[in-house]
Amino acid sequence: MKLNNLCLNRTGQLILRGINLTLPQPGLTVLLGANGAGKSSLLQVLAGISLPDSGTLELGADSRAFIMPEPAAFYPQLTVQQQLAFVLSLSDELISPNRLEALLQQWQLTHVADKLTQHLSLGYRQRLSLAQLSASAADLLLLDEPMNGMDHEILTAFKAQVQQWKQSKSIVMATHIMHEAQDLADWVVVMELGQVIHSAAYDGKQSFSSLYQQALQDFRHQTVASQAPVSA
Amino acid sequence: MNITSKDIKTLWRSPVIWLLLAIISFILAWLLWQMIDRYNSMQLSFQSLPNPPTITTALWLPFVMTFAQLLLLLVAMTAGYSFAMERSQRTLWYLLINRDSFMSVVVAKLKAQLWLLVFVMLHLLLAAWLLAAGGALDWWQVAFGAVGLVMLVFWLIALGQLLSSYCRSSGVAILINLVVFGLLWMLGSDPGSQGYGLNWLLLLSPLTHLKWLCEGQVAIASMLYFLAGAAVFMWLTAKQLGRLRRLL
Repeated sequence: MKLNNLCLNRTGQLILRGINLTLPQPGLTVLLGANGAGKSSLLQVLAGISLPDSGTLELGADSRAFIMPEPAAFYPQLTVQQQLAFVLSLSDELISPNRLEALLQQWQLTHVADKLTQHLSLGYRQRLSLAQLSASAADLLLLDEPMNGMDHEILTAFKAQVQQWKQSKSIVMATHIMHEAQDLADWVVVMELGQVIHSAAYDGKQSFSSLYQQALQDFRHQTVASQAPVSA
Repeated sequence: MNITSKDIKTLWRSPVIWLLLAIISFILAWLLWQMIDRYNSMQLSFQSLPNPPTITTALWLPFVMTFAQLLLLLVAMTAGYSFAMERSQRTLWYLLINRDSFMSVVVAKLKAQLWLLVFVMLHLLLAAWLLAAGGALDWWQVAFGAVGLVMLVFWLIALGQLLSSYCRSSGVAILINLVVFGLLWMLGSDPGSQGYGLNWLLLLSPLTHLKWLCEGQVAIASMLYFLAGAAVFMWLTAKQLGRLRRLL
């Protein structure tokens, strides 16, 4: 997966500035950055639901993406079961009752299967979002702040599932919860002001927190140096 | 559960739709009963006329035109919900993801809306059956009226969906649909231009083409107006969905 000089401009603001990235396939890439750094916008571009103004995006042939947006959005008039069936239909899969039942069981949604999605609590909304990712059969999974507000039980299930997914799929996950994400990451990308300021394989030797601080510091030094007047 | 069945569920789970259908049914039944009563009370005066109005011209045609007017309200609402609701509840991305062309989305959503035709056909059949019990109906004109009404609904849904795709809120989309449908209708009800060829702007209104079809004048221009018009609106809606990816 390769991104060449991607730029995204919305309402007169440059949100992504010349993003050049090569990401592992399969594997998990973690996107770090402050609010407004452009992480969510980059995920939307990767999903194809937002078109960049310039640059190219090279995904594999017949590659299908699915996104877990923040906040999660479901059809309020559908039940949990119908919402999942809808996502299954988007992936052109044959919707067998067994597949649906397995998904409901896997994410412990069986007893809310007939509940309208608008009546779900935060925990069940997260479970449903994760079930949708499982249902999507996509080979590129894009997760926007998936661990926000997750309780211990869902977090454990989520991490186990991600470990399994990343053996065969590409996952790009934007998060602020660094200590949880560093256990899973294969690659780390740090963003600031719509730019990629660090992109490298993650070996686990340095914590995400110090890696992030280091990347920010280097970026700020570079910015200051490039703006300083040249002495005669 | 594809896009069509999802939309059908969304549509029929809305209590407002059922309320509107009930109100339209009541108004139609009330008006039809009043007109039948008046038609019966005027039978004596009709006897002195050389060509008295038939049930078809006196009752069926006004019924179809009134029904069409009431359908403007219904279609403005259902088609208004179509894309604007997806945008307001932030679910549009489900329809945009992994697609290069959006015509299939537009067609799927239109198919869900076409279920309204069941309501339309049911009322037409009931009215025709009731009127046929009281006299001789011109069945050709009945059929043309039904075809005209079906094509009008199809055309209005396609236009309503296009307008809906430009709106972020369902309320605004419904309002815009009502205004545009109302203006197009008023354009066709120009009382000063009774003669053919006096005001060509009349041809822009679906009312003119519906009137011609109901009177049994099956012109290719009218068919093209409805079918090609709907196709153009659908194509424009698909283009607008593509453009929305430049806004998200």
